[in-house]
Amino acid sequence: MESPIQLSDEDRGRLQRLVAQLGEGELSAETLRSGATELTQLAEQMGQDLDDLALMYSSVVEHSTGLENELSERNDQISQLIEKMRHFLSPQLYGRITGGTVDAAAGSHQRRNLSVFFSDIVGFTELTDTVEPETLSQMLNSYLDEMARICDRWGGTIDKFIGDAVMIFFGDEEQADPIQCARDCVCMALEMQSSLGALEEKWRGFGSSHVLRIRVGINSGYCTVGNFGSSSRVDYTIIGGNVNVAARLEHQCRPGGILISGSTYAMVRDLVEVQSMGMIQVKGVAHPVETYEVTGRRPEVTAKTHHLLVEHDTGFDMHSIRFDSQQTSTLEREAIRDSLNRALARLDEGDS
Amino acid sequence: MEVKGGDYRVGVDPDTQTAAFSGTLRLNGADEYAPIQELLDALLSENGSCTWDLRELQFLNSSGINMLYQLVIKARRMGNVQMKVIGSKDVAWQGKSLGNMTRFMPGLELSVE
Repeated sequence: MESPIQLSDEDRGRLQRLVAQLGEGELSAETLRSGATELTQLAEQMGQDLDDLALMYSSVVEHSTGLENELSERNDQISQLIEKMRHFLSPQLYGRITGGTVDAAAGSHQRRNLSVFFSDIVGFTELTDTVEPETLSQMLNSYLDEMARICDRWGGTIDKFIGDAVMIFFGDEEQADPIQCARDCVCMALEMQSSLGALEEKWRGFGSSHVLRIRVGINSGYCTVGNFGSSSRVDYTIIGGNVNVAARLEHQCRPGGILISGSTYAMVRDLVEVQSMGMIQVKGVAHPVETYEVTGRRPEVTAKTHHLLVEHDTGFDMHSIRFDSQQTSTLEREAIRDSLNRALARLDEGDS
Repeated sequence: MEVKGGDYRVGVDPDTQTAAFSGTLRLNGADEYAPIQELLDALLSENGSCTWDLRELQFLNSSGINMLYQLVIKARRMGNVQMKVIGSKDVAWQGKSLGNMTRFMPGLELSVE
């Protein structure tokens, strides 16, 4: 389509004819009058074109400004919504959604080697019958706040709060190391248990004399993680037999304890002291599950492994190394490998 | 006759001489708008009247409004076109931008429902 400022071929021809006649001195009075009329008409047409162009420019700018302003308003609304959403999601999940690494569509999921944590407060149901709702809300929120803070510190993802129950998992990130995740999960549980004294004190401030104790169950293994739900409501959560095992361990745990499965224990054996609690059978899981109660942290493992090799100016002393392909942890293997490598390097130096 | 993309459609009903727009039009520049422009241009050339129904057009970028304004100017110059534009109060961009069409063509009949 022609632009409003362009001359038509006919107008351009008329102009060229007039200019040619002027140049050749062929202008009669009649030609001059006619030419003046044509030039006036052309000028009027061009004036109209310029008016259209100016109006089009200002109208398009007005349209664009309207769109920009609407866009800005929508952005503000989205920012406010995202800010509200922050309170309903774990910091990790919030970060992944707003950072665009989680596909929000139902049906997107994958298998991951996770460590799954369940906890609940002993006797909380009885507490709900004896405490005013407002006080109960303050007590529960202070407890969940503290649990969420500790979880955040260890890098877990809060799957959900169900009343006083907390469900957390570790290891849904692409690069997550399952062993480190199991260790972080157990360390988090230990810190949660040790934080309860201060929380109980806080609860006394609300007028409660309830003894605050929790049960914890932890299991590690492959689960399906992703978005599950209907087309209108989706939860980022985990499912699978290993999730059920963790929930069952929590039910089985004594008040104040941390009960872990054999698969979790295999990854934290150098980190914590445990007591074997026998086998349990979990519905839907073919084999009985080995269970261990965590009784505390071991002294720093690094102190032990660093003493495998003691170097001095002229050589080294090597202490006995015990390796068992079933029992020796990854961390211990690394320490052994490191000590042997350093010993070999010193031997090579001695040969040269 | 229609032109459609992933999230828009412009269809012409020859019986009513109406072009109905729907969806979100955010094509890049005059080249990408050319198929739509040709469709609307033909509607102008062939008939003494034409209607644009924009009620379902949720978004139109500045290249798109530029194309529509050019066609309105062309309709005014043709002199024999009965131009009618139907818009919606519920679509934010239509309020002012459709109103400006009557400045290009004072005889244009604008109805914002």
